[in-house]
Amino acid sequence: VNDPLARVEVTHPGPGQVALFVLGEVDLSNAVELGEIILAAIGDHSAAVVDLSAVQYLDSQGTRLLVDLALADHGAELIVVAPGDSVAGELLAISELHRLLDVRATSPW
Amino acid sequence: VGVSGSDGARPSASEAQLRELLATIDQGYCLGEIVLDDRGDAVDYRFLEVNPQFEAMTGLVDAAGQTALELVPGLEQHWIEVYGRVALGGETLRFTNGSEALGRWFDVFAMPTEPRGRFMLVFNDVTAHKRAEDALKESQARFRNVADTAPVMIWVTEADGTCTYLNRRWEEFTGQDQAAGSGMGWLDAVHPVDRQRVRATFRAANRRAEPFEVEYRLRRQDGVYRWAVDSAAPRLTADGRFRGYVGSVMDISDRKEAEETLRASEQRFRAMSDDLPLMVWLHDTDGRQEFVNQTFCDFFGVTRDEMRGGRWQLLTHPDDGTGYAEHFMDCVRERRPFHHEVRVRRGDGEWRWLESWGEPRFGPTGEYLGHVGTSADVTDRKQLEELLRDRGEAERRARRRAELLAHCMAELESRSGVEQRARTLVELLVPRVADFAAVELRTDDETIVIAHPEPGRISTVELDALLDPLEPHSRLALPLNLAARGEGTLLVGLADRRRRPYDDDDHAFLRTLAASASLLLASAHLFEQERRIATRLQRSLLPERLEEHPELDLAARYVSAAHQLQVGGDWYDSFELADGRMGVVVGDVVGHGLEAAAAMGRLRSALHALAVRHTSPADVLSELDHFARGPAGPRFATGCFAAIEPSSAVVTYASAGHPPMLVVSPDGEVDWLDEGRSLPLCVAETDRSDASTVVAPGSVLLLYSDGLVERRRERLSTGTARLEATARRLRHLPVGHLCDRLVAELAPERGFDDDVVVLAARISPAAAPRLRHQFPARPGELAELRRCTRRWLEHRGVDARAGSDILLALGEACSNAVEHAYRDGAHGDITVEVRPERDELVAEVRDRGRWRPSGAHNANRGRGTAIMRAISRNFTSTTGPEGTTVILHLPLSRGAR
Repeated sequence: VNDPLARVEVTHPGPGQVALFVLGEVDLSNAVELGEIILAAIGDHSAAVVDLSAVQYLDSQGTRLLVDLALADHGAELIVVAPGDSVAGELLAISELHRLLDVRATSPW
Repeated sequence: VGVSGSDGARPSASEAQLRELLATIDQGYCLGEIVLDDRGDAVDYRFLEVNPQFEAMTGLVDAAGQTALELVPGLEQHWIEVYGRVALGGETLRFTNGSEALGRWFDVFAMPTEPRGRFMLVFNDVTAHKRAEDALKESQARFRNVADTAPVMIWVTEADGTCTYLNRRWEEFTGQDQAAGSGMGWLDAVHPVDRQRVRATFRAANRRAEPFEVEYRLRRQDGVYRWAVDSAAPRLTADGRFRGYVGSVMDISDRKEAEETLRASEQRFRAMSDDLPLMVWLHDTDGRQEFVNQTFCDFFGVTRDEMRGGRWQLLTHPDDGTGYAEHFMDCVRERRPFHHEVRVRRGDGEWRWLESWGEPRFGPTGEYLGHVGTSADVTDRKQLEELLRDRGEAERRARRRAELLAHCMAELESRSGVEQRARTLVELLVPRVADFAAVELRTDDETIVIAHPEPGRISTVELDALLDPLEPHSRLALPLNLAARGEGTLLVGLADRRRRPYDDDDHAFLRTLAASASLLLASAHLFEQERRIATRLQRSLLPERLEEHPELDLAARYVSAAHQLQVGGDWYDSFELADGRMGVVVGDVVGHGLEAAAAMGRLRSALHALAVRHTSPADVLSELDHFARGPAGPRFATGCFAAIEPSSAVVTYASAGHPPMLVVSPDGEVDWLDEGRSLPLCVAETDRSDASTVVAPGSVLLLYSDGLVERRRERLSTGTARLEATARRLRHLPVGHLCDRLVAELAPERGFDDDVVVLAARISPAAAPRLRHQFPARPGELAELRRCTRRWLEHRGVDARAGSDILLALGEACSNAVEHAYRDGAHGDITVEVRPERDELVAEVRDRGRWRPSGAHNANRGRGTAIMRAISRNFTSTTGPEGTTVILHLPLSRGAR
């Protein structure tokens, strides 16, 4: 049985807060499923941080996931962590998603 | 995608599915856990889960929760050891073994599972099959297992007696094709006189489902009837039901003649021994007399028939007889040389002293055959001894000769080849009867000239040069007569002038020695020939030569097990795939003998046919599994298959329970290709997936069967470590030499216990530095493409940041192709090619689909295209009726965009 391409570590730093740390690679094969997992984890929390700083591969399938997340009806304040020199940070810069998402270099928590 | 963390972990869904699947299969299945002692050694194991088949196959009731030793107190230690290796050492093993404590035989596939210390078994009870095999072996002992291994024609019948398969050799031999021979049509090729008898024999055996053997005259294509022996073994299902026969037909006309002549030659030996002034006798393994020569009969005044079965004891003196017989039987039991003196009543009634010398005889595989010996009337000597206490020169000679003759025969029988026996003979004669001895032997295959004390084999001319300086009376030439198998000469010579020249007595003795040696040389030749036939059958099922490729050097070797006549089910093959890649394969059908060899032949052909229609090795193995699980398939087989793209050195591979392939780079870096693994063939429906790797140009890829690394009473990891070290040391050799040296250096001292296949493929050191990767248009294949591209970029020393841009651009292009190229349900392939040009890489992504831009994902596609434009210096996409080609020009360093 192969290792899954990506996984998500979920922690709860404080009341109403959920932090999602994404590891591995995100592509066409797993982006939709990953989006669903993240959305389910956000649930009715009031603040969510999606940390992409350790992601090893991310392409436009991943940006689609982020756009869908930003537009989804979850009611949480969403922060994306992606330092400028990380794989995700560079992609977000190229695709100019800074305008749509709150992208930061480090996690606020 | 998996999830872990404080919200709770869930067990791996796929492992649970696998276990659920295993619980329902026809094979026995169990999940076990090793029990350790204080020192951490495996001392027992506990069954955690078993399926319903488990009880039926082992006879163990309610096993779950109990340990193996609780259930079977006398269970053999080796089961615990082997599962310890699996559960603690992480090895995956496949083997056939028996348990005396359970009274059963099993085919077992064992693999480790999480957590450490646990293991899963999938197994079959093969007791019935094993018994049938044993019964077959016994019935054919008369021909030293030849019928089972040497035949060339193969047939298969069903339980109702109708023939459903005849191999090509049958058609070539009889001229009768498969259609004409099926049903009972094959009887038409049998001689009309034999037909009724053959039909009756076959029907009677078929009713009882017993192995049978029948000899008859078979019409050859040219109309000549040849004697053939037809031996058949029942085919049994796993639960022992009769499914029909697999049989083999061998042309034995030549052998029948050879046996005739061998019998004649044996008679000649016996006749010659009649002229000897010594009494010669042969006993069987129970000490019963088998043969005595005429001198013996004359001495006692009896006939051979009267002597049969041990009457000689009645001829011994009442005071000596019992001690003599007891001493002799002790020697028989302990297989040791025999020497005794006894008083016997000669034919004329006079009591005479007889001195006897005996030696145990052993066959080529070390089995005891009985004693051979000589006796001489030593009454005169005895009397002289009593008077003078002096033995005398002539008598010592006679005694030495008697001893030497027995010793030579025993020594020769313990060696196995013609050349070995010839060498042993000349070595035994020097210096006892000669300063120099040589054997010159011409058989239909070759001429052997061996001289002692010269080292090695020499030529006839060299032999003449050795003989020339000798005086005529100091040399003797004795004929070696191997009947139809060949002829030759035993030469002995005396160089030392102080030694007494040969006389008539010497001549007579050496003639007898040559005659007995002839017999043993002839039987060694027969054995070698039978072995060659068995090997030829195996070879005929393997490719005559490997397909060639300008950028790939290929070689393969098949080495038969050293000590068994039976052929094995290992195979190898290579062929060009539809997309220009080279496919190489090594597989292993479990078992030995004709059934395994025939199954191997079918699997090989099937794989060859399947491989040209697919691009994924894992898909090929899955299809092969479907085929193998059909009615003509084997019970269990493993195999590994690699598709090599020589120009870019990309190897895509998959393995069905087979030992991992090995890549050795020119720098000596060793990489075990241990991904892409799945269950062996014929076990259960299972998912199989590919793995890919980029190897350094000039690397050697090694495929092999487990016989290469497995040795009795040794951990598997020791064998694989040995293979790794040896392959690294030999990596610079041309592939043919590499294979030869590998099998030579890895063979145990007494030769391999099992058949061995090794295949080596060297990717050209000048392989163009191009990456070419072809894969089915499925989302799950993209990760593999990235892995492969990453390794290729690393090998090319591309800057990491530029490399990550290149991966991204390629990923976008391929995602697009996967999403849009084959929307109409077709699953075509995507081809990626990357080549360096000056300071950039040019990447081409091609699909053959009908590109259909869709509304739903347009925004996203636009985003992908924007990314490709941002990263590349130049980006073009061309769509035509043949599909779409995307070309990207990518800078080799950041900032050069």
